[in-house]
Amino acid sequence: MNAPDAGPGTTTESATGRIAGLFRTCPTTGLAVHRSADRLIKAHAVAATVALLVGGIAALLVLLTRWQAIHLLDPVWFYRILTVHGMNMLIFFIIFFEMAVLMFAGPVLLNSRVPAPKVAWSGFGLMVLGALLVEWTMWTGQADVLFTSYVPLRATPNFYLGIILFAVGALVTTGVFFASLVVAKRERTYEGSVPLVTFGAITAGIIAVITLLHGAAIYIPTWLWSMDLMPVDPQIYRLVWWALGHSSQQINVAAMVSIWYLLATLTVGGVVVNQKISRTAFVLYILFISMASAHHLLVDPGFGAAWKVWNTSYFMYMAVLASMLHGFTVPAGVEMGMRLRGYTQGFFGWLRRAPWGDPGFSSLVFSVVVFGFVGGITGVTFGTEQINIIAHNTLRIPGHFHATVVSGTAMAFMGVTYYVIPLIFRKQIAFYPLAKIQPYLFSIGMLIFSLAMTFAGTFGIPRRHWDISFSGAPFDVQYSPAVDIIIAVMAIGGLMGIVGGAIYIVVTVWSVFFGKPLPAGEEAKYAHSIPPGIINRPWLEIPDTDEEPEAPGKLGQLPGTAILVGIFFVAFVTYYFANWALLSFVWEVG
Amino acid sequence: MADAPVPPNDTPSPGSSPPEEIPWGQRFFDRPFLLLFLGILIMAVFFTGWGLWEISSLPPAPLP
Ligand code: HEM
Ligand SMILES: [Cu+2]
Repeated sequence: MNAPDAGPGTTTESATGRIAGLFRTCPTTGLAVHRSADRLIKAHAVAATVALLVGGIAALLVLLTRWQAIHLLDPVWFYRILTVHGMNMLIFFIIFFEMAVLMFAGPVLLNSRVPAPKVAWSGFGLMVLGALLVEWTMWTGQADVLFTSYVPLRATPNFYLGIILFAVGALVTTGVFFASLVVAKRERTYEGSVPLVTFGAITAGIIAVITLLHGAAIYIPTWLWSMDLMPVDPQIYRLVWWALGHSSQQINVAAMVSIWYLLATLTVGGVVVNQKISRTAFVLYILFISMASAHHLLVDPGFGAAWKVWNTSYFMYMAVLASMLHGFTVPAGVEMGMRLRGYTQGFFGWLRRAPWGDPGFSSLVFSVVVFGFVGGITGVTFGTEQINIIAHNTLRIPGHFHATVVSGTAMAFMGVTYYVIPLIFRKQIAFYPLAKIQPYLFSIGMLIFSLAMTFAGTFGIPRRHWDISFSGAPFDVQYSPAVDIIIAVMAIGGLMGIVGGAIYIVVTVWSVFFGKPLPAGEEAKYAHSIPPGIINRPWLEIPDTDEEPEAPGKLGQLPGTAILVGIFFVAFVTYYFANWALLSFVWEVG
Repeated sequence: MADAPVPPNDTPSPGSSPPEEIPWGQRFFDRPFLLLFLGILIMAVFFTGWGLWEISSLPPAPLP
């Protein structure tokens, strides 16, 4: 098949048939790329990178403050910059990037046009305007409320207005994405079902709508409240706000998993082992993942146990199941793809011979592994009602979500950028040797950082805290002396991650704005400056379907993945029950 | 991604033989707006609706 992820239905005839001036044919994938889609993707990607830069500088300042040995910022600036970090990373970077993903997975993968380019651009404009307004209020000290902006903490009205504009812009772009599905279907630019990557993007789009509706429902009243025009109840705020705050993370998860499938195809010609399973997992996300917002409210007095348990266990575990399905099918697809290409030695021959020097591939592996092993396991554990009480508001929480949203989502986004630059921007990658080590620095750094943070949290170290030595306080709090060392390790991991992030920004910005063009059809000459997948195009090579890959043991056709999944479950069970044990120490009866 | 040869994929590949009957599961998954509706519905009922009801049925605190 010619197209990446030519799942059921993507045809390539339609791509070659109707290339008017409005489209260009991608010389590598054969896809027809609507020029508006091209430009929209570029604009959103650039905006995302700017936000990453601002958020990254803030990360450095916050990190050097939490590292008590340095304690860089004063308390006012600590909370100000922490607000800047949260907003730029979690909201602006991630959502701008996701809009680029939607424009790719809709119009580009479906060979279709962008239905209303002007509307899409106005969405982008609103997002930029909103983001600038928020930046202005934060940096001028009018919004020191952290990204959760819990009522009754009050920021200036323009802060809330900026968020509303940004959210409306994102909703407009999501609407254009949905319209592109309708247009593509009507104009028959694809046959059958949409490709799996598009299906994942639809999942992200649906969750985005759920998220943004709740966002509007809470931020419009809060904006009015900030002008004294109406009251807002703090408990209702927390309920509806977290429907935004948590669900938005699930947009990330859906977008990230789509990128996993895409990267697996692009880098090693990974296959979809079973379309039905992968799609069912996405549908489970759509139905059940947003309700997990309740895990942020497990210590809130306003809700009964039934509501908490229903929304964070039982039904929500369907969404956990979905993540585990993807965590299985993605490596399984890679293993299958490699085995079909003859890498059949032993359990892990396919993994050893994989293109580890391809930054797209190494990012994929780190993203899957750290997201699953660290982010997933800690998340399910802390989301258990009883255990939550010993994790709530400690450093274990940012430890958990830096493993999910940074090592998982941000890493996947970075990895796919190494393909977007040559494929969409048609540029070579500047400083390619640095790009190759970037995923290692970033992931290993963030892995150390998250593990140390989680560990520090088990000693009760609070999150969002300027001074854990409590100097000058009327009371004294003693932490284990081990904490100083753990925090130092966390700081070193964080610094490594920041270096990795900085390399990413330098490489991408330089490639896009000052990079050398990549002439069509001459990719093979540029092996020193583009990822190997673009030259080898493993997705073109259809593995011989009659020959079953050789399986070395009793573990089935995919023994490597089976072993990895086994290790995962052992780690999961161990961590989960260790936390029940920890809880029992807190709970001294009698 | 390329269709996997093994294990035998029970989802028929519509690209190869369009006139084939499409299973109901696939037809369901092919309807993004239905999925959107269901996603919003479940969230609105179990999380938001029920949650708001819980808050509104709290007895007011007996303030000193
Ligand atoms: C590049 C490396 C990064 C480092 C070293 C870093 C470091 C930190 C630190 C030290 C905190 C403060 C924790 C606390 O005091 O409670 C923090 C908070 C946070 N970080 Fe990062 N971070 C990085 C990247 C990211 C990225 C890429 C994202 C999102 C995509 C992100 C999202 C957040 C959020 C949402 C918070 C919580 C803010 C709050 O509590 O209001 N971080 N980070
Ligand atoms: Cu959450």
